[in-house]
Amino acid sequence: MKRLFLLLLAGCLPTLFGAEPAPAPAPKAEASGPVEIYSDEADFELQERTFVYRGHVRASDPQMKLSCDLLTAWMAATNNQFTNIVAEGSVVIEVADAQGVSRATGGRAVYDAAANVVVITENPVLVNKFGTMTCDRVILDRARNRLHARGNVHIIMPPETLKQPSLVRPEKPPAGPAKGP
Amino acid sequence: MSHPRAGTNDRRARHARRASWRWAALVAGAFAWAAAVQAQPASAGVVRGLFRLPEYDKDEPNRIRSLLTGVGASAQANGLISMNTLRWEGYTRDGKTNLVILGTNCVFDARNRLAYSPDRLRMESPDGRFVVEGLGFLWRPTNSHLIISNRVHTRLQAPPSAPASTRP
Repeated sequence: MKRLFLLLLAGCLPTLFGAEPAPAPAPKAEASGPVEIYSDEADFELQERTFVYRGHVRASDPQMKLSCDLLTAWMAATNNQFTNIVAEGSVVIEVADAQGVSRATGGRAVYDAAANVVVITENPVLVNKFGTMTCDRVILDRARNRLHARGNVHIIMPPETLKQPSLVRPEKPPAGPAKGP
Repeated sequence: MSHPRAGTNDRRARHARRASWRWAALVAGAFAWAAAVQAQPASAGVVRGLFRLPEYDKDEPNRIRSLLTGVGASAQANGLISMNTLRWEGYTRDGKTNLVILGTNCVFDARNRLAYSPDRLRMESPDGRFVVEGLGFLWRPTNSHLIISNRVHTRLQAPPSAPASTRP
């Protein structure tokens, strides 16, 4: 049983949570669209280049959508771009890709723009069409389109998901030698 | 021949009369000034048109840090200055504009050095890639602290990517 679980986890995790097994480290995702943030109110310390958004905060960029209660962002002095973003309170992150929409919730999410990585903590839960996963920490590597789960990982998959052949073997069987007539 | 003490008394009397006239003139002037001030409506103020408040660096007094300007400024009786439009520009060390704040229907509190308005605010970088809009704000130019009360919208456009290499 344990062996089966490990096999499932090792083989299916990238597919399960929408992270494709990237064959090689990809360059940073090209996010050409704007970052937009909406909130009820805001408090800006322009000398420190700190931006605090409160109340029904919604943020979006070409790769994902985020909502939370409180969002704090720090801006670089050189190019007016956010370097770090911390979302706190009822954090919801939605990522849409070819697998559908994946939804992550947690109490806190930290985005590091230099690494293009989002770390979700405080009881993170991930849900997508393949199942539900809980753990201590979720690391969403946007640059490589990968997802890492750390600590007390627990996955719940509906039975019908396990029947999908794509979970346990490649969708396309490897091409064998052509048989002659 | 008059007595010398009599001449001294005359001079003292003349001096006393002049002093009393001066005092009376001063009191009359003060009353006239007070009457003139009271005759002006308290809330009318003086329309100054353009209001300018530059702020200079404490360490480098010749270097301007920011400039607050208001159009349609009028002084209120309570020391506040109301402005139809407000514009604040922040400058980098080399004198370039790095941020612009625009507001309408603003009040500037010169004593506490803050501006506020119930109306719309727009803050933007000179290249237009960073824009913040909102409704209702309080702005402290001295420490660059901005509070927006309602409907905040921030739009941040990534800088243009570096041009592709033209090396053969």
